[in-house]
Amino acid sequence: MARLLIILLFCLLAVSAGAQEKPPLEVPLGDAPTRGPADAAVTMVEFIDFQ
Amino acid sequence: MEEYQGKLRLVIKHYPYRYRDYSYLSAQAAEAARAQGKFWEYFDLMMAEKKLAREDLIGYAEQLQLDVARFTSELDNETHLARVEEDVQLARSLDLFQTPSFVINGRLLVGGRPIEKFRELIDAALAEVAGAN
Amino acid sequence: MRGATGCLALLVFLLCLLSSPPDLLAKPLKLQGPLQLPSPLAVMPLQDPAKVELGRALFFDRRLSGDGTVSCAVCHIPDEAFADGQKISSAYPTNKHWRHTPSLLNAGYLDVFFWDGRSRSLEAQAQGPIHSSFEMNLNPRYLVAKLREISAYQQLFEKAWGGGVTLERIVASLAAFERILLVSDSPFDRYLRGDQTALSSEAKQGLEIFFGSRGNCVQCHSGRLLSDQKFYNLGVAELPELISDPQHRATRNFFLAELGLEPMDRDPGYYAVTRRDEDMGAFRTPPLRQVAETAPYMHNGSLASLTEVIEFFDRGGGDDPNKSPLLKPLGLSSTEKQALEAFLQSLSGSYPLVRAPRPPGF
Repeated sequence: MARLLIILLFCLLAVSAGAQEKPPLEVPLGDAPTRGPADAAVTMVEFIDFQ
Repeated sequence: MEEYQGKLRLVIKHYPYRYRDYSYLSAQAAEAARAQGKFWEYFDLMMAEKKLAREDLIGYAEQLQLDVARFTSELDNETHLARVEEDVQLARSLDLFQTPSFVINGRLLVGGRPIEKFRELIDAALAEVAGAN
Repeated sequence: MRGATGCLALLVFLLCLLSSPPDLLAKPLKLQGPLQLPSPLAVMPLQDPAKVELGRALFFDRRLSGDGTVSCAVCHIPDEAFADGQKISSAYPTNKHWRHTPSLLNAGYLDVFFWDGRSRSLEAQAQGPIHSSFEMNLNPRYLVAKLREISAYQQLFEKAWGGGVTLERIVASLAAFERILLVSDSPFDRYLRGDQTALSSEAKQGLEIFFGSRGNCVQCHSGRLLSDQKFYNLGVAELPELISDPQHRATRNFFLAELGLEPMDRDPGYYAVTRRDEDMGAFRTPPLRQVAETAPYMHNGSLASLTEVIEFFDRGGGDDPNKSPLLKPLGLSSTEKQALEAFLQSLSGSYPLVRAPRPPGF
């Protein structure tokens, strides 16, 4: 019985957790400074603190 | 960057930490340099020199032969503060609180990670794009 | 669609667990040959869902830090096996840490916490990083006062504990949450429960090296968790930046001073707890579930991959006058090293997907 409850708890959390993969994080680029070609296959956005 | 020549684009968003002395100042300085068309030159110089007090920041502007009077007045008048704040708001809205944070084709990487981790995510993103075409 | 897949997976998981007879879960597996394998992991006692839910809210809440930017999940990242993939942990903003983040998976089974074993319960452990000046940097008494002013938290505490916010309840809720972060379905676990097909032949060869005389990893990585929870000096080299960088140095020397120790240019490990010379530079044997997902390795993250770790032990460890005599050069062949790595890969199973809830009161 205890085990069943644990399993149910797992289910609860897993379901609330949703799918396997997190949805990709969409970052609007706006007028941000960029380096590299605009049509590059991969875009890496860096949130930076210079200090 | 060079390793992925032509395939990788780097985008900079400001995320100065509010309790540091020079975080906001240096972000605004980079924007002031951008207003004169030399963001990346300024960025590289700042990264190499690492000193970020007001006089250091103005010194870099001199070195890059920017219009120093304009640069200084924009820095002192916080001309670009609103632009920096926009980025900060964006970061918060994305639930980012640590710097540096990277988003590589939608995948988040927080902190100074080993270069292998970047390669892994960039390669995965490249493979995904190649697969989609 | 996502929900349906999830439900199906859960149903399968449920059926798997229910169909395994209870005595199989408890008894060590009898193997041919002299290898002594550990018992399968014990079933974790049921955690109260209300406490787990409160613990989850606290775990993700950045208000547990002085400046409101650092939650437990910043260093124990749910998608990265509750570790953080960095050599040295993140620190409170503007500071630097001095040790590597351990994974929380299966921490509920441990009796000894932190690399230097300075804590003996999950509850006591959970309080450490909240208070630490270079981690979350919040006075726990201030945290209690803050949470008492958030009505959504009052309700969660009432539901979980039948009473108000106290520090004991905060850390006990975090501990209840940590006790559901378990891995017990790795191929190795299925093998221990009697599924002979769970391990590839290469992983089985690795298992023989691990538990047998070739590697004898089991002399420390023993028991159900593959950790004896004891302390050994392996001669892991200090990271140069920990010795040269003023902020790393300051963090180490502050940590030492808090324990009444003089500044030193090394991590004293368990010595800081016991003050016995033989414990200088000794760190707790880490448990090994999900190890393939928690690179880099060692107390300072100085070994980047499992391959490097295996090379390190094959050399007989590093260089330290106080190095454990248990470490000797092994002379493993490249095939044996690959097999050992395949075995270590087989220690990875699935663990709960946990997402941040909406912060209470927001």
